[in-house]
Amino acid sequence: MKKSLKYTALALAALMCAGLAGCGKDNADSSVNTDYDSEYLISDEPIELTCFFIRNDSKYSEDLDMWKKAAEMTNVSLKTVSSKNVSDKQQAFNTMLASGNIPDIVVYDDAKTYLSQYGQEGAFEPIDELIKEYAPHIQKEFDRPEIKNYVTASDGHIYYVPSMNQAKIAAGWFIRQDWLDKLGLPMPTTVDEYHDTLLAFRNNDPNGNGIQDEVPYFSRFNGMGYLLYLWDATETFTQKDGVVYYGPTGDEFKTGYANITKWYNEGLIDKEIYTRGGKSRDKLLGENVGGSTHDWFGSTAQFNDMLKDSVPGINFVAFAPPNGKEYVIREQALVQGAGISANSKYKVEAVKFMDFFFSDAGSKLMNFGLEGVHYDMVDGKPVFRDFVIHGDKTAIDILQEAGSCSQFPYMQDFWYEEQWLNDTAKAGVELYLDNNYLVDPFPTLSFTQEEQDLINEKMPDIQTYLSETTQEWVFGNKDVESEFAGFVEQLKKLGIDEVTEVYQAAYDRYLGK
Amino acid sequence: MSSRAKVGKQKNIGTNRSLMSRIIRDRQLYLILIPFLLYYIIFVYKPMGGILIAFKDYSVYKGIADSPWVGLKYFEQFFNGEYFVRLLRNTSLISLYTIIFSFPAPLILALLLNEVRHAKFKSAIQTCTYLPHFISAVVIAGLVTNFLAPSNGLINNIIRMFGGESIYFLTKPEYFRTIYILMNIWTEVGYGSIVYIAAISAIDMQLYEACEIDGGNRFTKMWHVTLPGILPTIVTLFIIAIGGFLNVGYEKIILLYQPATYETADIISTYVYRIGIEQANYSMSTAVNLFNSVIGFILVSMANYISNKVNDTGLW
Repeated sequence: MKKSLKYTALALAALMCAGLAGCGKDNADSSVNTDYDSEYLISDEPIELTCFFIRNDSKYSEDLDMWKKAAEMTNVSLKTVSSKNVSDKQQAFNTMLASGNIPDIVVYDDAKTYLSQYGQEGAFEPIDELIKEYAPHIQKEFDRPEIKNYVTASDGHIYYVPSMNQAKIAAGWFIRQDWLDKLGLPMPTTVDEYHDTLLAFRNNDPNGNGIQDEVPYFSRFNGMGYLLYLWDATETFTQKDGVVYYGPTGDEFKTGYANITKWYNEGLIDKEIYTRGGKSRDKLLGENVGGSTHDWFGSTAQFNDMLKDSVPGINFVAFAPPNGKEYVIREQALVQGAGISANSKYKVEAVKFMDFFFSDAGSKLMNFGLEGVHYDMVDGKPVFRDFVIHGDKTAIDILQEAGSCSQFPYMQDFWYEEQWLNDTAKAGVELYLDNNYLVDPFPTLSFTQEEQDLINEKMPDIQTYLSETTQEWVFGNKDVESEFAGFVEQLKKLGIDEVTEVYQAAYDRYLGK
Repeated sequence: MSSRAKVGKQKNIGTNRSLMSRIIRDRQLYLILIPFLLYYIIFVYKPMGGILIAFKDYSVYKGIADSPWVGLKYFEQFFNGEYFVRLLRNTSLISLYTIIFSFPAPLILALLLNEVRHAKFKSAIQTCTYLPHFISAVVIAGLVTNFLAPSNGLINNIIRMFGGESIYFLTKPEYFRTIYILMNIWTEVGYGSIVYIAAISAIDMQLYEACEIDGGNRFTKMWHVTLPGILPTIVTLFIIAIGGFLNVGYEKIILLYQPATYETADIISTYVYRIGIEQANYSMSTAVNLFNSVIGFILVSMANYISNKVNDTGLW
């Protein structure tokens, strides 16, 4: 008796589930094509595109609200054929390629390199013509030379649609304004003044605990990369008047490292800058010992709110680059993006579907989530609801759980980020934008297979030598001026000239020469 | 003469027949063996064909068969590289130190623990020494980095307490190998001793009693009973350790080293890792690993040969 009751209950439960699922489905089906004009409709019949799409945090699923909404509007839905529990994206990508069974749309981290490479071998479709014909919104972006040159592979075709950024502004210089006030110092405006300020932080006990424990400059991005920008130097390839050269062979690199070595041995730079790791910003600001850094506006300004109880009076503000130039900016197009299988039956639909996310409606879905759920339209602008900005989770987590802010290519609207910046961060962003500090970086280039082979052969040794030698200078307090000639000579011996030629050729192609 | 030959022949046929009949008789056991044979064929022998990509410009999409041959290009690149000699030297030295210092450590711990009579104290020690093995390498390396930090690391605090100058250990090439070997001993000594403790417990107690009657003290018992009793285990583990001579695990080194310590810390596998990070250069990694395996195979064969000559024990 008891047993049969149990089974009845189970059966009932099963029935109810089935009923619910059925209802859900019916609803979805009936709503297709009804609420929207056909502006975004891609196909009259609902079609399903297979897709390779892995997020390591496994938040992506075609069942998320945003994707359902997109499917309603376009009649195109995605079906991921990759496993959702893969931790190693690269391995999954390789397995997919090796199987020869490539889904209609492939989303990948480094689409620029790999989709272009395997596209030239025949795995992915060259999409330049398709985009011209069927994807007006993407084509509008591709009409900008900096985007077009960026995505074009070495054979002149385009094999992927990149994720894009509307804003260039990303990061800037930060300093403890309250320390400056306490020591009666002005805001540094030149590199020399910055040096003297850091020296004062070091010597004059701005945190007032009587111990010389201040760390004037620190960076959570291990190393001196950002500091080098103060002398307009870089550790990567760069160009001057169209002539490409390896940053470390330039004179500005010598000046930069001569100063960095001096600064380090004066105690102005975190002694443990190479080993402290990604948490150094939390640690050094939290312990009230960090004085200045170079970091992202949004997250760095937030420390003022987070630490206002434990570090009274903390006022960590952005200041103008001491040399007047900001080199750390967001690339307008990213290496991550999506391509289309050369064997796909739905190439046109796939291109149109990608284009949808660059249209007004699709772009809103990706940037802001669902209207009425995550945001409301106020004065023609999508404004996030309170729970998105002030919830228990970060805005990006909440949006990603709905499927938005995805790795699937779209144009990231700066308004999305601006809404949750605090006043300190906003002031920093304004300061940098109003004064035009941003400098365009040397682009990520596209290489032919032969060029890539040469780079693969030479660069590991060159980079090993570079990082090893610069650390020797810093730790050994070496006289960089006298060491520099030998350093450049060794780089030449390791083949830097040949690699530079390759970069020059790729750069000329990039410029369309 | 002829009868002997006949006997030999008969015997031969006899064994053949009995082998077949034994297989038929024990067919159920052989059935159980099949999955394991399949495992080795599918996951160990079949992938060996992949070694070919060391001699090819491998493209995942084209597959092994269709990728173009490049001969010894990747071997030449590796051997002619600026840092080949340094890589080989660092790899061999770290391996050598591991064999000299890390290999005997669990053995010594097992022998010491065997002499402990207080059961609770013994198991407490065992648990404490096992524990680090179960902590991930990232955490271990983080702990070591913190202990050695110049500003407020444990070790430097002690040095300063005695009036010394703090040392930034992780940027000094001369300390790297010591740090690495000590860290390895700390994490693996307890876990490694389990095998020895098991082997020791299998020794017949009568042998100890006999030794005692002969007037042996604790030390002579250890020397003449315990050690010979576990010698085959030691030899087996030693030969296996020799086989991995050039396969030094790179994870811990990657987590600990700095460009400033490349001089003593950069080994073959970390170098390959950096190449791999640059580009997915599978052919190059395969070439280097093939080189590692060949050296490893030669060393194992040598160790096994010597062991068979000297000890009459070996892997084959």
